[in-house]
Amino acid sequence: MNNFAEFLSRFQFGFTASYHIMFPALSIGLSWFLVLIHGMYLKTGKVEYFRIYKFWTSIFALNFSIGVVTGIFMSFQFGLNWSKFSYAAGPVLGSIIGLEVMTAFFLEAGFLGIMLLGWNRVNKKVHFFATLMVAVGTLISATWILGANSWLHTPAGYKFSNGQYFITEWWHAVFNPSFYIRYPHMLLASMFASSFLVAGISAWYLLKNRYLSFAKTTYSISLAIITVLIPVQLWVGDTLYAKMAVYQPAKTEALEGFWEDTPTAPYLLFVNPDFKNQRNDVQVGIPYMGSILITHSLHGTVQGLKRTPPENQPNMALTFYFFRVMFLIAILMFFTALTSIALRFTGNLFVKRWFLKMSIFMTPAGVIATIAG
Amino acid sequence: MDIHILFALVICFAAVMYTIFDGFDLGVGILFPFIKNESSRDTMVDSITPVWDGNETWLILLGVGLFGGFPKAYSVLLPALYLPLIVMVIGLILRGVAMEFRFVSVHRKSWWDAAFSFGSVMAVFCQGLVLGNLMEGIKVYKDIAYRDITFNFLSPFTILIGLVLIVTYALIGATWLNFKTSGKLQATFKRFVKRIIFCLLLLLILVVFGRFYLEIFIPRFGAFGIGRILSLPSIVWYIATVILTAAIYFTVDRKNDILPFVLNILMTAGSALYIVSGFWPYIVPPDLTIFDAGSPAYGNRILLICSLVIVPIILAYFIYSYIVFKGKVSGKDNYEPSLAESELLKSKVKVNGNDHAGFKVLTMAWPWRIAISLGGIFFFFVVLGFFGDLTAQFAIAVFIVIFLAACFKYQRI
Repeated sequence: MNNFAEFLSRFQFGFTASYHIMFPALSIGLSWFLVLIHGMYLKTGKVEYFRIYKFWTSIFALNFSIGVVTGIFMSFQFGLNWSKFSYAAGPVLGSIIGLEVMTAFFLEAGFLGIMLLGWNRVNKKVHFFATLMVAVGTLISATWILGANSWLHTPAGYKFSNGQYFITEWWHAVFNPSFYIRYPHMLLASMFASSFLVAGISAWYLLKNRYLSFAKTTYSISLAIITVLIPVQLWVGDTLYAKMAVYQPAKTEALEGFWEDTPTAPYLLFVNPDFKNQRNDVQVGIPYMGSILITHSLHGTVQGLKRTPPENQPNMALTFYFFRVMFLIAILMFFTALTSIALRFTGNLFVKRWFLKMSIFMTPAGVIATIAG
Repeated sequence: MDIHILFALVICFAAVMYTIFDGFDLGVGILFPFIKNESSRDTMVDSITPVWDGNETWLILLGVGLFGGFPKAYSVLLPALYLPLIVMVIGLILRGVAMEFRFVSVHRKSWWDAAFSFGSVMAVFCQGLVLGNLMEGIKVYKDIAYRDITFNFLSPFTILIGLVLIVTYALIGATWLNFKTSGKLQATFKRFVKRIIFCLLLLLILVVFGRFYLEIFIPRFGAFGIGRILSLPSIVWYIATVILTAAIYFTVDRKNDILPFVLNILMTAGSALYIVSGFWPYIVPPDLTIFDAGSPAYGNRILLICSLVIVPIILAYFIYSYIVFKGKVSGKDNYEPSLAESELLKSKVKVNGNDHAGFKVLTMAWPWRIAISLGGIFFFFVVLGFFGDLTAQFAIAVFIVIFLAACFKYQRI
């Protein structure tokens, strides 16, 4: 009974957190996309940009509202289901999230009204300022929440007494070791989530031959954003992986799906882990690829999960496949970006139907990769 | 002054702000079923769309402030009031989502309307239950709330407080709408204000004096027990409430639309302060004081200092936002762009199917294309894999510069 309740609580937390993260992730990317579009509109005065702005602000508004209300749920559920945890970690997490609410949430909420509905009521510069402030708010919010999240992964600047954690050095606690890499990784992930959403919807319009000039502009911009950011993201992800290997070795070991230390390791695509016997029943992989990706050399040794004692081992199948999903999507994104470069400069970007169809297919890719990650 | 007291004051401030500001937009939801006309309903929702997000943020601040400042209270209170809090949050989600969807929905609009008002009432009633429980007191035993059954939070007293809160929010919602609407709709709300005041006074009399006649209305643990009925703060509160409700009642027919709303804010704030100050020095009466529950932490002090600096800034742009959206709400196109811009939106821009006029196009034979793609893959996965971080950063920067330059040369974004 007790275990079942714990399972339910874990499931609830996992579900609500994943559900919640979709909306802020899209909000961050979309808000900066809107800042770009709004700036272009003010600079060029072209009706296209105005049209794009109107269309995407309405989606942004819906997305943002759902983000706010699911956020309320998140702020209460720490205490509702994880009472002991919130008692112990409250002084740290509560302070960080409290600052997030004060510096970011209010900023976003205060200016969102003006951004969405202030057309007749403020002049153009103030209106642009409101858009900018909403975007800045999403960024600040991401900073704090990632600080809190990274603190749970790599705690720093704290002391433990009387069953509670206390912050002793504020900036060390927020900007803890894994924050610097986790933060850009998450920000870029949210940029991808929103860019693929924008690209997918414009591709759909292009395929249906509707609102062409609108769709062409957004399609081109969103694919350009993807193309510029994907190499950065791959590099950041790689660096984060190296950090994780230092601070949370059990996690990286489980991610790769090996039980034993393996030199010249293949990159596994399919495993069927057997927890009891500490081995894989079946494993399929690409030779050499594992060593190259992880250790950056042909014969490097990939560490196995047996290094961690069984009672501390994470669930290998779960971590392994979620990581595979994220990685494969990243490869697909990379492929999309490369293809878009080729198509762009040969004038085929809006013509090749297979690519448009693929863009539609890729619409949820960013969101899925974010959740899986 | 003691850090806990200051922090408790911040939380009190958030609570009072929340009751006032989310009070009126939840009140709009409560009054929704009594207005049948579709365009009137649109006007009602229009009056709160620019501001409701911000109003709800005070609740998040309240929850998180408790989490950070008084973790013990947070960890006792939330499990003890699990059901009402969960239902409250679900209600808030329901109404927030419904409010956005009712603007775009065509066929299911009445459903979203129902969800909006149902969610509002649900949320308010649960807030009332939570408040009622705090007033009744929650026994704490070995660091967890003492409760014998899941539905312990329900008692005649807490249900009564739930109803009182619904009526209180309906009243402030009605004075807000009286302030923001005009014409026939405004006249309706003027009538509503008077009726709601009667309901509110009846309920309050039942809460305060009911316990002399009916035993079931006596709060269980006595934080707001019989002893308080004739204490000085209580008497001040009775007098102030009676004077202010009477003032609202008589000013609502006057020309000055904002006055009843301001009086109502004073009344709500006063009542909230009366209740919150009644808890002193407890945060979870009757066992947990703010000194027991607080965390003597360095982070707490940072949070406190920041809140003293940031809250005035927040208030400044809140006031600005309310000034931007001042004036009456009416008709349909309240927040739409100006006419010239809307006309632009309607104008058709002629675009042919797959037309690339104006773009310089790079032509390339297919072996080149394949070579470039393969080269790219090779570049990223092998070259960057074997060389150090600095090379990688440099290569990525070069790539981005070349790509953007090419974009501007061959095809404008």
